[in-house]
Amino acid sequence: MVGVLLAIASLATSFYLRPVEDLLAKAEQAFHQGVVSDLDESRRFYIQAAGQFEELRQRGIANPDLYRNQGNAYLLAGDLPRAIVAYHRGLRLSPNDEELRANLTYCRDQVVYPASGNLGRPPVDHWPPWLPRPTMGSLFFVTLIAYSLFWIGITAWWATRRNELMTLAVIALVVSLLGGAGLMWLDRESRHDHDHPLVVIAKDGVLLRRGNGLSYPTVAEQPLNQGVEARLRFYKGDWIQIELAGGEVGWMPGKAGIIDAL
Amino acid sequence: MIRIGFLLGISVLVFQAGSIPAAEPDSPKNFKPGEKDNFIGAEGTSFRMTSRVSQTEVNVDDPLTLTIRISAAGKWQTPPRRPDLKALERFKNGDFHIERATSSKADREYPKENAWEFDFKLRPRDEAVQKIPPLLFTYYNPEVLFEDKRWIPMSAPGIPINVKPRSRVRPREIEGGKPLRPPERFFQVTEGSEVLRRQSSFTLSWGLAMVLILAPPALCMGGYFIWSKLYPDAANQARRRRSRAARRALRSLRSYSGKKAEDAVAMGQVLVNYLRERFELTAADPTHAEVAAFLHHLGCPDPLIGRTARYFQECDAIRFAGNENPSMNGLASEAESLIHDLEAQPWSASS
Repeated sequence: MVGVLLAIASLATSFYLRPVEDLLAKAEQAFHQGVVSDLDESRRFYIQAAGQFEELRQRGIANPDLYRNQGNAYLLAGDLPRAIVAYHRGLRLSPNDEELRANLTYCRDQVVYPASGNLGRPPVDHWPPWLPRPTMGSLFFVTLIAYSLFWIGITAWWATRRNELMTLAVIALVVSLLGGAGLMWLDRESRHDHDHPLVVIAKDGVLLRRGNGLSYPTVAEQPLNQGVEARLRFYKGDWIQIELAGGEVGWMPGKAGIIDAL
Repeated sequence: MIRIGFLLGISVLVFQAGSIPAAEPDSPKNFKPGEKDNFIGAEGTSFRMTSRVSQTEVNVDDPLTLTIRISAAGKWQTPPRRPDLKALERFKNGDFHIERATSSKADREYPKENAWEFDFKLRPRDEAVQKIPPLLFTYYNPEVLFEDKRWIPMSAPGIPINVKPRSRVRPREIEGGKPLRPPERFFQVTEGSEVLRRQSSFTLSWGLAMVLILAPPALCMGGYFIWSKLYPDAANQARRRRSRAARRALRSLRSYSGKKAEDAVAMGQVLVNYLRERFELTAADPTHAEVAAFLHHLGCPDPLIGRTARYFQECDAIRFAGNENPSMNGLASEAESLIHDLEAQPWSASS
């Protein structure tokens, strides 16, 4: 009986939900209509496309191309904060995607930061542009290869006592240790992102306060505008505590920000 | 009866004049004569209150100054003290942050006009704040007939204000009002089935990590074991090469040319050092007979003992013969061969 009910529910769900291919086709169509329409009409089509990309995401579709499309749609629709969130999601899956990174940089250039100081500005990226960013998968593969070469080299040296094999083993060991350290660092970063998800401020003129209420004094005189990125620390009721890239901590209404829950 | 009715009617009229239908908090309509709430200490026959603000447009959390002016229209005995805004209901909802004043006295006095002004610094906390609420305070008029009717209200209406957020200027607004067009790449969308793939971040469980850490050494050990079974000679040679004493002796032997008498002495000494280091030969400068006896004690086969003893005999002969160009054919290679053969003995592996 339970199985029958589950089967009926599944059938009903499949009739109600459109196939993902149809959803993608409609999203692409809406986007193209936005491109050819005039300024007033186009925004409506971009919002529609972005919403359909979001529905694909909620159905488990996740890849850098989808997030790039969604980010572009949001940006052209005028929704800067959601565009930033989309680009961040894409970069999480593909840190070396240059177009995603360039699009995120463009979005950050559209944010109105306070005139003086570094309040709210995104973190400075010190990574050399010519050096590929390591991913968990690639780093794991290199570490495993180096680790295996170390053991092969040690075993061969044990059998033949040839010094060049020991040299190879030592080099492989050093590479595997470096790779292991890199994996631990990436894992720590991933856990930090999971524990403190990205928050993008969704409206202009948001003042950070010292407590979770309007009766608390502000942290800084300058307000934060939409597009400013931060990390979630705590939430209490309708208020959230965030930390900016410069280390400033404060509370703001939860509805004033978009949280990229992982 | 008529007099009683008249008095009753007058009382009703007085009561009706004194009663105020309930309206809003802090509203004069809601005030009943005789109530002492919000008394500001002023005593006199008639006081009036007005209010003004320094500006009607202000940003969120920026200060503005509310000035309350209280003036006496008639005789007065006691001047007003600073009104307490936080005592008013409408100021208790937190719409304004009211800065604490340093003194309860008036900020400015106008003796000729019988007026006093009090300044209050207010900061609106939210854009939703639309006005400064109306004010209602009381003074004491000692000349009113009935004592409980001597507290008289005075009020000032609310003042509309416009609270704006801090900053709304965008770069495109500075550009003359025309929105900047994003680069062309934003107007392109990736199409195809690639957009529908489900990609997730790489994760590694602790269990799989332990398997991958232990797999290479286990496989290498297993491979070595299989190799030693498939190629025993090669394995044996490897074991011999593992002997540090043998490696050192062989390396030393290669450094000698084997053509001079001194080399013969040295090579013999190398072999003695090898026996001492490898098998713990105690004699400092053994004769060939002592070496033979030592090897016999270890269980070395007789042919090998004989070869070793003859080697030392030849070395001694060259050493004591005084011939500067002795015949040392194959002495170096014989020494190497002896070392290899000694390492190959079964009893040497356990030494």
